[in-house]
Order: sequence, then structure tokens, then C-alpha cells
Amino acid sequence: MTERLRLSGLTKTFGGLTVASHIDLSLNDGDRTALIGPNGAGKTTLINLISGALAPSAGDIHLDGARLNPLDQASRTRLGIVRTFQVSRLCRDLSVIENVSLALIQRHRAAFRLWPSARRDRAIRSEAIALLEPLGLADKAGRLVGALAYGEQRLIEIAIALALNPRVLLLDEPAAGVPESESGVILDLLSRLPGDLPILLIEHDMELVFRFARRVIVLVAGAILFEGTPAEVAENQQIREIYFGRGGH
Amino acid sequence: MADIVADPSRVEPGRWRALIGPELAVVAVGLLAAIVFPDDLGFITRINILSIFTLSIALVVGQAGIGTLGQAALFGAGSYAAALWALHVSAEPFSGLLVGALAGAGVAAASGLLILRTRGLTLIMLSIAFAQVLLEIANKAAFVTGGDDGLADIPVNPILGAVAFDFHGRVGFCYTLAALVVVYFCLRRLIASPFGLTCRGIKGDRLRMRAIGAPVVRHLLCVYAIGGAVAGIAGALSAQTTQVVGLGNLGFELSAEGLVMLSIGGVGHLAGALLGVPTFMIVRHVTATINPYHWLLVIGVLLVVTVLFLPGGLYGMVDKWRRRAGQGGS
Repeated sequence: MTERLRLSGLTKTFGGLTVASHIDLSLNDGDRTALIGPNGAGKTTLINLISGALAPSAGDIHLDGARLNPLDQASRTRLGIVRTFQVSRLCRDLSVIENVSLALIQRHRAAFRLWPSARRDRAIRSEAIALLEPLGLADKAGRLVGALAYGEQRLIEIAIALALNPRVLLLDEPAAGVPESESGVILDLLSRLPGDLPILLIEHDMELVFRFARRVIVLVAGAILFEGTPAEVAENQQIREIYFGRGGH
Repeated sequence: MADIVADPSRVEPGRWRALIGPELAVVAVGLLAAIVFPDDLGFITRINILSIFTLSIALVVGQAGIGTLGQAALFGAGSYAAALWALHVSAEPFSGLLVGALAGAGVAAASGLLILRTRGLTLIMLSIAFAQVLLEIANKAAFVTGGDDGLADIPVNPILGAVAFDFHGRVGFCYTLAALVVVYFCLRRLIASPFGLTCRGIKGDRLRMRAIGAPVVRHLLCVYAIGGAVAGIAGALSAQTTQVVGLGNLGFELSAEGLVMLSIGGVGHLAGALLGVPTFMIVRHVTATINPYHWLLVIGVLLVVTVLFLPGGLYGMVDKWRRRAGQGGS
């Protein structure tokens, strides 16, 4: 198992408030790691630190052995650190295929092409359709994103992430806001993601966590409290008290 | 599958119509107007020039979402540069257009470095402030710009050394109409390119664009400079056809008028500029002839009515009709 992403001593403070405290974490090829913790534990902050939306106060981030700290968010994305958003961030006035094409255009470094080319447009279009097909969204490619159901928008969010050809995928609550009846579709999609792609998943839906993850990290008040298999986490009395509340299940 | 999304390469029979149809419509309407109103060529030429100017706003505001109220700075930069070029270097018209475009793009790039890092109200205020500063510089540097008097008697050589600008303005009309058609064609291609789609993406959600690896500010700077070049061309055309350049070419009023004309025509489409400018100009011309004191009131009512009842502007209305007709026909 080769290591792709390594966080060492990652710390972030806002004034006197510590939102990430000496976090050491590595993601290897094929990792399926879930990050859980109560609200305000710093889960999304950690994704912001890795993706470059926030600069750490201390500590280092390495991808494939190269230090990422000085790079901004856009450069990190180009290297393959790809994230999704907890609340869908899509261009609602653009169609489904246009939203996916935007990501493909970035990956193919075509964003500064000032003149259309029929051949390039066709290539991007068929690649976008190929990404949408397995999600069952190919027949909605021409629809405006704003007109789609929220669950479908969550799927497009993941399609965009995949269009960027990620080396590491950071999923911030992919099932948030999706009715329980549809969250199975999301899980289904997650289980079909490329096997060697390391994934860090933030999720509140414990059923999804336990079915998806092979390793669970519990984050409390910005620090890693526990790391282990889903079974170990489920049995740990301390976590049950902190995370699931006293009295547990 | 591919017929779901518009695929221009598949519509072989209508390919030429799709490629240059709108440009042909502009030529037809322009020539018709010139034939029906041969005594108003100066007025129609002004409409051509302001259409180019408003196209630049349609690109910057409508496509990329840069809410600027200082586009006249770029128009003025183009007109002063073209005028000075004609007065001191060469009176050849095409080189003047090039100089105007470069001046507009250069001023846009320089000011863009400052204003494009901001958004919303801050950006609007900064764009106004920048244009006002440029206006004041032009006012004070009278030894170059003529100050309050402006520059007059700007020479223009015959086009390609053969077609001289005539007293009736026929050549000026054809020259500006040709420039409008070329600019419109290039901008339509630009917004159909990956670059154009990326601009609309930035307008839609900047954070999303950063997360997919887009250098947002660099993009905005690029589209703002292109818009500046277009506004600069419009300014240069104004200098060449009227042969005078004054401080009004840099004024806030021109920026605001451009935005009003675009709002009437429809902000989200380039064609909005081409519908809004003639409508605004004709309504203003007619009402000002009837009553020179109250034309602004009529324009105000026109703007309120469009904003309240035609969310997509005149273009939105025309588009809806066309779609309905298309559904009825098929």
C-alpha cells in the first residue's frame, strides 16, 4: 500500500480557538476512511485545510511525498486533491452537462481556449455523458441543474469530482439533505468508485459509514480521539458516550 | 444521446445559418434602416458604435458577472488613444482601431488587477472611482487631451487608401456596421468556447470554480481585458467617425446608459445589447424631439417596465415568442 496523502501535526487556530489540533493522518491507495464526530468537531475544517481553502497555523500536508502547503486551492485540485461540498455548490443556471464539462475543461487545461472547436467540444461532451451515464443522469444532461431534485444534484457533485480525475477524494457529507429513501443510491455510487482511489468521507449517517468505511476516525474538538475499524468504534464505550450521546443506542 | 444537448456539428444543413445567421440579421436590419432613413445616417452610426460598446458590457457583466459601472473608462481610453494616434502618428483608420483596442485592453487589465479582487458593491464603487480618476486625469492633462475642450479635427485617411469618409456619413455607417458585425461574430464564438463556459461558471459560483481548479481572478482579468478591447474599438470608431473626442467619452453617464440599454435588451445574451441599444436610442430620439425636457422620464418608465415585466429583457420576450412559434410549427 503506497501512501498518497499525509497530514503531520496539522493545526489550525482562529485567535484563541483551536479547530484542528495536531492532526496526524495518512491515506493510502484504496483507503475507505470515514471521519465522524459531533457538530463543530472540525470535520469540514479539516477538508478545507487539505483542499487549501484554509491555510494551517502549523503542520504539513504532503501528496505523493511533495509538500502542498504553499499551493493554493486551484493548484491542489490540479494535482488531484478533489473535494465535494456539504451543501451542493453547482451552477444552477447551467445545464447538467455544462456543469460536468466545466470540470473536464479544467482537467484538459482548455479553459483559456477562446475559440470553439467542434472536435474538442465533441470529445468533452462524450466524456461528460460517459460520467453521467452510470448515475442514470445521461437523459437529463440538457436540463438546468436548478430544476433537478436535490438527490440528483448530490450525484452531479460526485460526477464533477470524478471528472477531475482525483488522486484523493474528500467527500463532505455526500448524503446530506437527501431523503433516506434515496441515500441508497448514493451508497451504491460510493461502492462503485475506483477501488484504488483513497477516499475520506465525512458522514453523519452511521449506517452509511459502517457500510462504506474500513477505517473510522473520530474527531472531537479538533483532535483525533480514536481510530479503528467500524466494529471497534461501535464497541468503544467512550465514543458511544461522546458521539452517540449518553445512553447510546 | 447527443441530440439532447445542442451539437452544432450535427446540424449540417443549417450549419451556415447557425454560424452566421445572427450576423446576417444585423446586416439586413442595418442596411434596411439606412435605406429607409437616409438622412439619419449619423444617428444610425451612433447606434452601431454604442451597440459595440454595449456588447462589451454584455460580455463582462452578462457572461462573467463582473458588475461594473465604469465601462466608459475603457471606451474613453480607446477614443483618446485613437485620436492621439491619428493626430500625431498616422491617420490610417485600421491602425487607429487597433490602437483603440490595445488602449482599452491595457486600461482594463491595469484597473482589473485592482477591482477584480473585489465583488458586489465594492466592485461597483471601485469601477466608478477608477473611471472618475481617469476622467480627472484627462481633464487636467490638457496639453495632451485638450482638457475640457477635448480633441477636434481628428484626421481619418480613406479606408484601405481608397474609400474616403464622405460628408453624408455613408462610409462611416458602412464602416461601423462592418465593425459591429465582426465584433459580434467574434464574441459569439468566444462565449461558445470553453473560455466562455468557464466565465458563466464563475458567474454562477466562484467557490465551485476554485474547487475544480480554476484560477478565477486570472480568468476574470482575461475576459475584462477582452471587454476592454471591444469597448476601446467602439471608442476609436467614435473618434474616427465624429472626428472629435471629449470628456463625455469617459463619463459616468455613458457607463450607466450602457447598462440601462443592456438591461432593456436582456443582460444574459449578447443579442440583448443589439436589441436594447436601438430601442433606447430611438425612444430617446423620438421623445426628446417631442419634449426635450421629459425624455428621461420615458426612458425611466421603459426601464421599470422591462425590469418588472420582462425578466429576460426584450431578448427574453423575443426568445419566448420564437420558441412558441417553433413548438406550434413542429
